Amino acid sequence: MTNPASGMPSKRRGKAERFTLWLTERLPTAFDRGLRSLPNVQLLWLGVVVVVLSVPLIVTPLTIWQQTIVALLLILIGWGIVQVEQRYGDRHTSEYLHLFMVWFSLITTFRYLYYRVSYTLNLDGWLNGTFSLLLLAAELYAILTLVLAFFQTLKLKDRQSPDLTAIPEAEW
Amino acid sequence: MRRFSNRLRDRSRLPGQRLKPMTLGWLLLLCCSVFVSGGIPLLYGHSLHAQWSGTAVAQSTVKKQEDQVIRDFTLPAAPREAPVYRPAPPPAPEPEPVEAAPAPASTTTEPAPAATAPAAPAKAAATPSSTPTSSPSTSQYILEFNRSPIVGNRLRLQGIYAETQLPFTRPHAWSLKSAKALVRFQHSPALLANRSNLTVRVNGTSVGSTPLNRKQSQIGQLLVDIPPNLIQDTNSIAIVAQQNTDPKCSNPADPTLWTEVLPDSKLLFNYQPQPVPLDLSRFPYPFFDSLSLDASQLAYVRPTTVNEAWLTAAGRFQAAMGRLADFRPLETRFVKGVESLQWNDRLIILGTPAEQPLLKSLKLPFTVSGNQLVDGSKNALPDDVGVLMLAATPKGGNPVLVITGNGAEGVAKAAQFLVQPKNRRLGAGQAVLVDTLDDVPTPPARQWQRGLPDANAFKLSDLQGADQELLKDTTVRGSSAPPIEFNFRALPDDQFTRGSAMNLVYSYGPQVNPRTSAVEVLLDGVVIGGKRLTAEDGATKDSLNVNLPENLITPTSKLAIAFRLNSREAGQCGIVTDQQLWGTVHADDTRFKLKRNNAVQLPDLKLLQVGYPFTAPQDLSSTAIVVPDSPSETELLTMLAFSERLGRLSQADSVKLNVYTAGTLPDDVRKESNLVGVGTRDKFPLIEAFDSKQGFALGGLFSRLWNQQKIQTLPDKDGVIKAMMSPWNGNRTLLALSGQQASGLTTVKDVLNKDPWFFQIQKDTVLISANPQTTSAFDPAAYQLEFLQQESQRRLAKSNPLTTASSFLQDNWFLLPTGIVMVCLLLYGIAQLYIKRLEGVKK
Repeated sequence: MTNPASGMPSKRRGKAERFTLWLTERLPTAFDRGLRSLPNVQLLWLGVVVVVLSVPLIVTPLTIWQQTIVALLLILIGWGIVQVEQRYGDRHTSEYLHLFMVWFSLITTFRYLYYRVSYTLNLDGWLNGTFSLLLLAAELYAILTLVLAFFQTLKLKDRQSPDLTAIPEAEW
Repeated sequence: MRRFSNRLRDRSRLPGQRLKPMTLGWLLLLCCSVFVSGGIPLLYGHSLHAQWSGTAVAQSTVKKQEDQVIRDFTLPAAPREAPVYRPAPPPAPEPEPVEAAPAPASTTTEPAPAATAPAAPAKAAATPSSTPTSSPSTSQYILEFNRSPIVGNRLRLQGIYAETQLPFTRPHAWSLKSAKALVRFQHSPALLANRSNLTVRVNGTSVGSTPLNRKQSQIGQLLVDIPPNLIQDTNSIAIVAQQNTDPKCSNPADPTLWTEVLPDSKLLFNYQPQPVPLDLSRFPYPFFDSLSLDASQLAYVRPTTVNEAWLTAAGRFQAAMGRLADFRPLETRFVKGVESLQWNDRLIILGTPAEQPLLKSLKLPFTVSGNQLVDGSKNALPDDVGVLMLAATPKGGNPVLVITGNGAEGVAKAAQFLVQPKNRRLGAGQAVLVDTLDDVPTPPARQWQRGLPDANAFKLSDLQGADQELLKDTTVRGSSAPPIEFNFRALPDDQFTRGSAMNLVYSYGPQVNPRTSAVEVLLDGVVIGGKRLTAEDGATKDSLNVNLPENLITPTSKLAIAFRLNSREAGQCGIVTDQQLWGTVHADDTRFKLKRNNAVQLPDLKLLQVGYPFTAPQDLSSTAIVVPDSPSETELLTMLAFSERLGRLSQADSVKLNVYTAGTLPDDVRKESNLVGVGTRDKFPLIEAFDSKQGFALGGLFSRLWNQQKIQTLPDKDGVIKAMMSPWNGNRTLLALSGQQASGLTTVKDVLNKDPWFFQIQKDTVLISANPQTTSAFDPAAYQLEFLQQESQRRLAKSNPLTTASSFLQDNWFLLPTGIVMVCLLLYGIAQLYIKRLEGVKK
């Protein structure tokens, strides 16, 4: 990845811009410096450790009104990031914001999935059990699709369609 | 003494802590043996183990036989006849005449002269009465209905056909000569005399009936003879009222269909007390009679010197008696000698002959020579041999239990023999020498026989019903079938989380009305789930999944399954044919799945209602009671009352409670045990309990301290129960039972003894003041309790890091979104660096 803020005009100093700069420039730079001595394998393991440490965030049950507030807060953060991306939508900024949103979405999805599997499956009798598992399978499929889509959009390719005018039609 | 201190050290460790080194040791041993033996096949290993264990058992058997030969004792030369205890009748009645039953009539009904105000239940229940009758050896016992808590001010019978039952027992030592029931009643003036009547049944047999024909609700009375052979050990008397206001068809919901049985109705028994041969095979009878109609009274003889060994033996014995008594009353007091015994006292003499000079004056199988118990050859018994003997007082009116030995170790063994059911069952005869006792292992801290199993998944058949028996498949019948109720007591340190569930498996019959019938699950009376019974032909092993609300499950919870069964055809004249309606709960198929953590907030006196933390583990081995160096009688009685209460609240194969004086409390026990200090303020053995700068404290010179405030009261007759975390160990509790004066400590003892007050205590401090005008301890206004909460509670948890973190996040839920953002930022930073490096490699 290249520096996303290199092409930005320096006069814009709004809060949103400062946040975008912090998120897409300063923070990555700090990580680059801090973790530069780690080889790739250790970097991967570090990621795994952080995922494991996030398990309490995924499995902790809250009361309904607490969960409502948490959900509203997370939606607000996601909406804010999308707004920022739309305003400063240059390609590199988008890539960084997108990467943050991927993790944000994955952690909240895991929290939902834990709740869904732990508390909402109805396995009373074969009929209830079958349809309950079918519905869960459908949701898992949707989550799998989501993760694949995240993977595909990790690196945005600005592909241009080739000009076919120079190529004879017989070679198409 | 060395053995005793070793035992103390063992006891002071928690079970989990004790297992860990052992488990590690075994693991190391296993690793070494696997390493050394290399290729030795497992099969050989098995046979090798068998050989080793066989040799060890043989050696142990030989050693035991040797020990037995060496320690045989000569029994007394001429075995005496078993002593006989002749229960004395209750003392002569007060001048107030007792209502005697008219002799000739088998069934008599007569209008009572006037409506007397019902006596206060507690007052009327206080004492039995005896009157001289035709035979001088026959006594009379009057059992008034108001002794039953369900009676209260009246027993109301409402509806066309109403029935109520009162259970009663017949004491073991009674030879019943005659029995009568005197039922006093009032009824609605609207009842039709020829279609309304009142019937008395005893154990299902009708013994008398009368028409309900009094005018203007006059009080009537029905006196019926009960054939003595109808009365068993446990009985029930049923009062049945058939009531009609219409010659053809009465409305069952008519409020004028009522009859009230007055609380001064009574049962009158004429009986002869039977002599009771004393035998240890019948223990605890006659020292505790589970069928007795009065509270059993234990009378201890105070020893010449009160030491740690005597205190521990007395505390353990009293705890065991509390366990045997369970919910039944037990009264305890000290007496100086045989002459101060009352008619219902059972004398307990505990201690060595040197501590109990009274032993010399009793006729005992093993005589006392000097200050030593001697065997048949006049040789003194060794100090570590316990001796249990039964005797009767010289006049034979009171039984005597002697728990003795020539040394403290012997006394402790003798007491332990009675405390441990496994040993107690072996006892027989008039005397028992206790030479060796097996040590009963301490159960795990979370193994409570009356609580939920420690495992998170279990069946209904693993739980106990109201009769303390394991539940089986149960069928109920009828349109007003009683709910199937059982204890669902959470362990006190259970903290339930969302997701606990019950899968109820049930069947029902084919005749129910599917439109209106249902099955319900109730937790402490609150409906937590239900389902319609929809199958017209009935159903077999249908299931219902019920979520168990985490906030409703408490250490005293009860779960009930109620079948609401309605017939398909409406009843005629309120009478519904409903015996074809049935529902069954399958105990082996109904399953529970709990989600819970092991965490508790202390100090909390509400948890003391189930004994926690002093009854964990249930053999009381984690608890030490401390009394002053020279305890007064009130302090000893309070110590015994607390021991008895712990016994009532626990179930185990042994009691390992320890009691110390202030000067003999070892440091390791002080640090490792839950402590209970007993004493008045000036002699309080653990004065640190009142040194706290927070909360309530008793100060010197009748002062009371509350945070920074200080007042002096004169006089201060209140008692104090205060719980706090132990100053010597933050994971242990210190309980103070105190008062500025002995009268204050007496109120504490009374609250510990009486269920209605004990099951009120809560928060961390209770101030108890006695009402000076109250004459009976059963009076609801006898004591006033005030509850304070000042000590900050501490959360004690035994859980894995994930559970701890999850609990922390639940307590500080606003950190959860912050945590999610932080984790996302971390993962984002790592991922962007990783992707950059991958890009760099590609380039």
